[in-house]
Amino acid sequence: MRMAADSMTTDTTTDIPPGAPPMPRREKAVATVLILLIVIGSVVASVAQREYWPFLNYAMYAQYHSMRRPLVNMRLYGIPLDPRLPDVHLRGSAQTGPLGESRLNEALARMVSTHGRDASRLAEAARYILDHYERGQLTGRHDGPKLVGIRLVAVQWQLDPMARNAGEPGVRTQVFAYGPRERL
Amino acid sequence: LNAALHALGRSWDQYWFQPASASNLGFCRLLFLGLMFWLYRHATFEAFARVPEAFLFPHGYFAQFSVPIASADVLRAMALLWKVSLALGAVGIFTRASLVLALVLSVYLLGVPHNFGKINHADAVVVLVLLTLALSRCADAWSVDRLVRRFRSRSMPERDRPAPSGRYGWPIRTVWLIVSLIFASAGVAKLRAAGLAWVHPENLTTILVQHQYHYGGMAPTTWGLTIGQYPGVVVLLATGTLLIELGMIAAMFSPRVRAVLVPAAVMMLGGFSRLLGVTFTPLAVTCLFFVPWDRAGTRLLAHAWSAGRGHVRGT
Repeated sequence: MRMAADSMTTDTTTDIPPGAPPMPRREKAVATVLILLIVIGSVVASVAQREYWPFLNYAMYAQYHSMRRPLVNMRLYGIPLDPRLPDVHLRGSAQTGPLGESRLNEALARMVSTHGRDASRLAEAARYILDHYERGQLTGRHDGPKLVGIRLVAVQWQLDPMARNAGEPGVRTQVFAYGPRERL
Repeated sequence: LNAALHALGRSWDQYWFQPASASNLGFCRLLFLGLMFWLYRHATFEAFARVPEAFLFPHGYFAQFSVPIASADVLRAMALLWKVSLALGAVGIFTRASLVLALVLSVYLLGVPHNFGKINHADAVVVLVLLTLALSRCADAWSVDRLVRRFRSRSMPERDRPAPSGRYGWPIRTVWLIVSLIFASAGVAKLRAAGLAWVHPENLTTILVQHQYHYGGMAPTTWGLTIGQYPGVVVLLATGTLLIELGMIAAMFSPRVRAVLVPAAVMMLGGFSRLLGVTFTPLAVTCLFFVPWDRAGTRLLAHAWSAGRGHVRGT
């Protein structure tokens, strides 16, 4: 441990030997341009609060969070073929595909907000989710019930310091739904 | 003005182009690319080719230049080539070509998922470090390329060892810069959005509690709930987070600050993973560039040597 701590306090530079050859100008110029590019890219992304991947604004969790404010999350539910069954919360890559739950929900929410109620776009997205879910079922990647539709729901909680109500959201607002009319 | 510019230029040169050993840079390359290969060894991208266009929200250069999402077969081939290039770059075979290929493929492949829904912040560092390594002479030590060169020239290892040079120092410091700017951006964003109120216990407690709710509970542990019961501990953690993030720029210039802040930053990233379920593994791996491996290795050998001599004397 002592050695590790000591080594961290040293520098990577080496004493300049008397005959050390100078660094070629071209290499220096390339390095300088790269360093400036990294500084400018990072500062611009941070100041403009924009994302120019791989130059990003690392503003995760930057806002002030209050326990008094209700938490709202998007959740994707599957509507089971069997009407007696409750809606299924779609989770995990076997059910949600390569996008995963957070990307999928964000993409759906963006779709609704940027394209309004563009029925064809939302229907295309819903059919893909249902197809993927069914493929996962057929290949044994999950054992969820057969679905006939999906719904994107904004779920809301009043936060509990011990998260005792995490399993049961208080308010649910349907953002969009796809499936047989009588089941929506 | 001339004198000021001259002094600035000299300080710039002194910081960035101080002579450093080739072995430290070479070992960092080996570690970084080796660990990136290990981290992404099971990564697949072909499933994104089957995601319908309805989900597509192109970002940055994908939008700017209408870069398409390649077919599943092409993505599979690219991913394989990318992993091979990472592995070859790690061991140092055709290092420059491998690194350029790894860089180009990283820009495309790692950028693909960000076109769907949101941009993830975990992997941008990989591209920037690869760019730095691809432009550097990182294969002059700890590489098969060097062994081949030595074999061809039939020179003795001692005579063939590259002399310390500025060309081995700037890439390491550029990676420090990348890491420092990432942490600083996070710290500045917090101060700008919430000010010093960010360290108020309610803020971090709420974040810890919220992660028990997100996506059916994304935090892998409930430790956050326990920590949230102790406001003093929460303030300490929040203050520590801000100090680490803002202080990382100082770590570029002070070995003492590095010795404290870099391990603290890695522990903080570990904390994010356990308490929030948010992982920044590539960034944690990149922190390995802060360790002067050549000196650590020399000390380790010296320790082993003296322990061995002690053992021989004892017997």
